[in-house]
Amino acid sequence: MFNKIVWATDGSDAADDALPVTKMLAAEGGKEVLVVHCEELTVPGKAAGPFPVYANEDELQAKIDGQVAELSRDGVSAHLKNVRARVGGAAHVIADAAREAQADVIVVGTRGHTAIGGLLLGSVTQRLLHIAHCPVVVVPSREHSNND
Amino acid sequence: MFNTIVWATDDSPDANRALPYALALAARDGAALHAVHVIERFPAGRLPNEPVRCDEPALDARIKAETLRLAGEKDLQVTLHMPSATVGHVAERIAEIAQREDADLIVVGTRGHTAIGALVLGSVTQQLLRVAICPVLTVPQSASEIAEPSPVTTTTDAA
Repeated sequence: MFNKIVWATDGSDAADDALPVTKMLAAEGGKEVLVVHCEELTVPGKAAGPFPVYANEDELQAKIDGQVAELSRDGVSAHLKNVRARVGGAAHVIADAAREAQADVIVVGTRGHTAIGGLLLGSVTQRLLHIAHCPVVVVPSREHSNND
Repeated sequence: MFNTIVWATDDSPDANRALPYALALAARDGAALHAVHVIERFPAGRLPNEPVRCDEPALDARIKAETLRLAGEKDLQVTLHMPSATVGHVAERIAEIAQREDADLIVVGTRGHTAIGALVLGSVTQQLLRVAICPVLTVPQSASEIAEPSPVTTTTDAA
């Protein structure tokens, strides 16, 4: 049923919380996990071109590389796709990557880096639910679970 | 491995489109399946405690029959829950039951009966994503062709 799974991550803790669920969905052998890392870029300003929104983008990338390696060690056929989007465009880039890969399901956290206090459902996840061609699994962050 | 899966249903086309996913995962992992149908009722007023939907008895009967069929046809452990909630509190009730049953996953359609024209994401699903403490699998209308009720998939992906 879920032969190709997309795990969308921006390197945030909330995205990391969705990784165990990705593994659960991939529990059977022969499944493929495409890790889509979307890096958001600022809109070009007066002085210079677009910059990554997150100053620690290199660290995040290193962490994600490690997570892909971990998936492979767990016997999952894991691939990494790094994509870039302008601020506000991440959901579309993720949905496009999933469609292109003919993914059966997309796994995301409820919100990523851009969480705004009080909003439990991030804007990227919210938008993804509207535009994704396939089912989406939304994984609540542990912090949220513990509060209940 | 999923141990306990909740399928939230109002017998709408979207809810029924989500069912094959719940079934396939439950069959794959030997998980217990809990079908949850929340009966929305008016609060105190002219029609205190009356169901919001005038066809609620027929709806309940269809959901009961469907759950019985599932329990019989598939080799699954299926439990039906039909609690009540006042208007607007359906999602909380689904989340409560999921929590009580220690569910690993809630499976829903992106919207149910109360879909409003251009709204892709129904209010119950939207609310559920905020209150559920376990992962929620939302199945969109466009996923209809992908989900065939084939519990055991041995597909080798050539891609």
